Amino acid sequence: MKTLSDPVKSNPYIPMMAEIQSIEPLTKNEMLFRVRLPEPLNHRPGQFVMAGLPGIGECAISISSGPESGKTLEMVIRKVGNVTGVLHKLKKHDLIGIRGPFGSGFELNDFHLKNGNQETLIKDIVIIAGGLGLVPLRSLIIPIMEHKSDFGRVHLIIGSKTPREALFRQQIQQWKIHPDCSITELVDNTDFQDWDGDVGLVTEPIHKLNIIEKNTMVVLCGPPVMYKFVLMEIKMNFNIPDNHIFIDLERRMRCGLGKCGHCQINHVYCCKEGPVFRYSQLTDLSEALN
Amino acid sequence: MNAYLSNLDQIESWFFNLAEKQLFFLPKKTQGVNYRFEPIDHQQSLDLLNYKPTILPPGKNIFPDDEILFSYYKDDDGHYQFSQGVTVNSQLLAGVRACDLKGVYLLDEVFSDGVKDSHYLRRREKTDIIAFNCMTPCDDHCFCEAAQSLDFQMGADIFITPLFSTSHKGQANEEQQCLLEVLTPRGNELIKSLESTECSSPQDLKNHAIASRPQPFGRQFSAPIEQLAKAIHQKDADSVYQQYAEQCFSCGTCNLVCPTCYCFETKDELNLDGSSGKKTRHWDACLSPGFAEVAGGHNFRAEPAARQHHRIRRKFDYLPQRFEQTFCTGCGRCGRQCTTGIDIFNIVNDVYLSVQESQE
Amino acid sequence: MKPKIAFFDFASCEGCQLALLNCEDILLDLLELVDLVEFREAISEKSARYDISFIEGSIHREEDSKRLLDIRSRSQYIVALGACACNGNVQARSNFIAPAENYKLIYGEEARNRVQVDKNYWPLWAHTRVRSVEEIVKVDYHLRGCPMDANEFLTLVKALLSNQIPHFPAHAVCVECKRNANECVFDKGMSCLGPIAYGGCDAVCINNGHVCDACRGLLPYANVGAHNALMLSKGISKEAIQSRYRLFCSAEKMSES
Repeated sequence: MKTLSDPVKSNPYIPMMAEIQSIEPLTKNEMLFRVRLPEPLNHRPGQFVMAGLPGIGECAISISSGPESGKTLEMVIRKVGNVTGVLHKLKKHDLIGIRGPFGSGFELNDFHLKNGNQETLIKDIVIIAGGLGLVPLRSLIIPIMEHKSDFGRVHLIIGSKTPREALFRQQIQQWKIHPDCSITELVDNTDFQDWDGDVGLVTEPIHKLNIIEKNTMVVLCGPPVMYKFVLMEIKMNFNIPDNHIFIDLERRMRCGLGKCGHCQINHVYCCKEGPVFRYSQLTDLSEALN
Repeated sequence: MNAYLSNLDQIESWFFNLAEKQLFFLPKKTQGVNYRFEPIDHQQSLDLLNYKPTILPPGKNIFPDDEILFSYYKDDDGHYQFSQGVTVNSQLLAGVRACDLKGVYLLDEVFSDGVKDSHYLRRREKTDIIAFNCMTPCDDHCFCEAAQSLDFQMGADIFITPLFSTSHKGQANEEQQCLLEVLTPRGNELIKSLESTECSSPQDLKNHAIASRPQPFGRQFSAPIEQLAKAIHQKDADSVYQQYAEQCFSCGTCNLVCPTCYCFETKDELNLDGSSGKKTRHWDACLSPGFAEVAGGHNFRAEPAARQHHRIRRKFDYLPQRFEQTFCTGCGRCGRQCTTGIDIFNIVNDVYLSVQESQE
Repeated sequence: MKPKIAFFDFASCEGCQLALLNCEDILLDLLELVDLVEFREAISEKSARYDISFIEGSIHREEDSKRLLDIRSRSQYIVALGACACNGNVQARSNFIAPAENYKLIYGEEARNRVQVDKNYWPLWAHTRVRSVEEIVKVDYHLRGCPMDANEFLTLVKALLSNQIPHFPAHAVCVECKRNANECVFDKGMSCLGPIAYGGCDAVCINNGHVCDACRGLLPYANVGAHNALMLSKGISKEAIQSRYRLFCSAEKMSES
């Protein structure tokens, strides 16, 4: 017996073409693209899209706008290779190909102060971003800030290499005015630039966090090397259950559909079950944090 | 569904007859020692009893290399116009062994899981399969019984079991009775042009034929496959993977010839006019060094041993967790074609033994 | 302005340029898009600056090396075209033999004696060692093979014309043999360098019944130890294996890893 259901007619590889509304250089290598989609993306925070141009290629790009952004999509594209190099040459009103949204992302419900189906109240949300890690986490921070009364205290620790690489500084200033919101901005070194934040690694402020451990959610995103040290620091200072720690991982995504195999971390597909994982899911995955 | 009796002679003429109506693939001997699925031609003498697994598994006819995912052009207003690419023709794959049938079945599972892969599924819909049961192990490399794919028949339209000893080599003749089990409506259509008689007790005949097969059938693991899978899951047995990695060329042959490997790389191509092009996909191999490398250069599986480990666990642990089937069919292709002599059968056995040892 | 493209010859048979001239179907379309300013096999024109300079041939004499440095200084991209430029090709086998011995081997004892006293006798005599282009200048892209592959040439030019970075995957010839469902050369009782050699050629030699001699060079991750053991296990002598490895790759830049 053929076990197949009816094959779908739609082709999951054809992108929708979105018009670029603005391109804003954030740093030397990173630009914020704001594009207008033909239909709303309806994404969850932490999801990603495949962005690119037909004939050139595509790459996985984190969604940086909040889930209520409708037909507008914001993403930060760092110039690292061929495709991103071409995307950086695009101009306002040019078209860009978008497929998605892909991946699991965050459930905002997990972070709500009062949430119906959960026994524990989430009184503290700790978000630690290293470098470009702030880009996907911004899609989570925005809805939290927009509906701040639904959430408990928010502790943001945002690290960059130098002031030159610090992202979204103006917006971070606006977040600071929300009640119960503490933000620590750090750079590894000031590199002779003006800097009004702290100097140090994102691991340093962790022990000073004033949180109720069993009512805390932690979210991490940054370069692979960051996770080990941040997790060690958290585990040394606090007793936070592994399923209350979220980690946003990077892998090589090609298809976005859990088929092509490139993003596989042990038995999970980063593009499908990830890129956001609970730490409790990763303890079984030896390849996850290597 | 129905079952019929016919003989090899009649089946051969039936094949030639079907081949006149549609694209018809059958294993054909190369000039060397191997076989390949090739369109049948009338000059050919069929080798239905003796062929061993082909260089590439028949599933590759449904999941071809360099498949066009879409093509596009920019119209005068600068809008992108997309088209699906190529039209899919119907094809018939005959002489598919049970191991390869299971390979196709597993690909069906994979490509219809989650977001459906329309390219594979469209081709699959237009692919008929006439499978051929094995009465003797193909060669020293196969271990289909141990991998639980011997007698697998899901996915076939017609499943043929020879009812005589196939160890005797020679021309097809009338004595060589075969049982043909029709498994799908499409199979019912196909069998109409075969000279045959209906069979009322197919299961008895089949059981009898199966009972006369050599025992054990091909190579056997040191333990049942469930225990092997458990050992592979439990412990990474790095030294075993490392030992095999030292021999490995990282060429990806084992992946490319595997009936259940389906990883692919996509490629975008721009035409010289700069305003049209296509996206294609190509078979990729997780043994290839750059497979898990991200933009910026970090390689999540830079070491050959890590890649070997990934391949083995994918077949015996990762994908089975998702699809509840072992993704090694025991066809033996990877071991048969590895130039440096690495055989998945040996790796799996060694991992099992090393885990056993470490527990003692 | 159309990009300026130039071709320069060093020690080679110019077969790569010929291979390009053989792709009549695309050549005219291509010439619409570029300005061909130097091409010995076809036209003769000069320019001060080049956008893409294709270098064909290996480098033998000091004057060649100076000329190459001059081309580099005037070019945006340098592309090593074909096996001679990429890894020295067959002529680099002379790297393994003392120059005087080599000269005698080819031209006889009398010629060797004359070349030692008459400096005008044969200027090539001045060469010390056959070098690949990369040993002298920075190479942006390699178009490997003897001759180069016209499809790869097209991929490279299309990418550079559309401001992209051309990409040529570093996989073994085995990959392409499998894509073509080729019978393995070892299964035919012959031996092959395919498992350690750069693919990209679509395994053209094996498709046509030959074996692979690694004209595109050895992969950066080539497991030469395992390959050597494999060749020995097939009863091939050490000398024969060495000679096979040296056939095309003698001036190859050793991999960094």
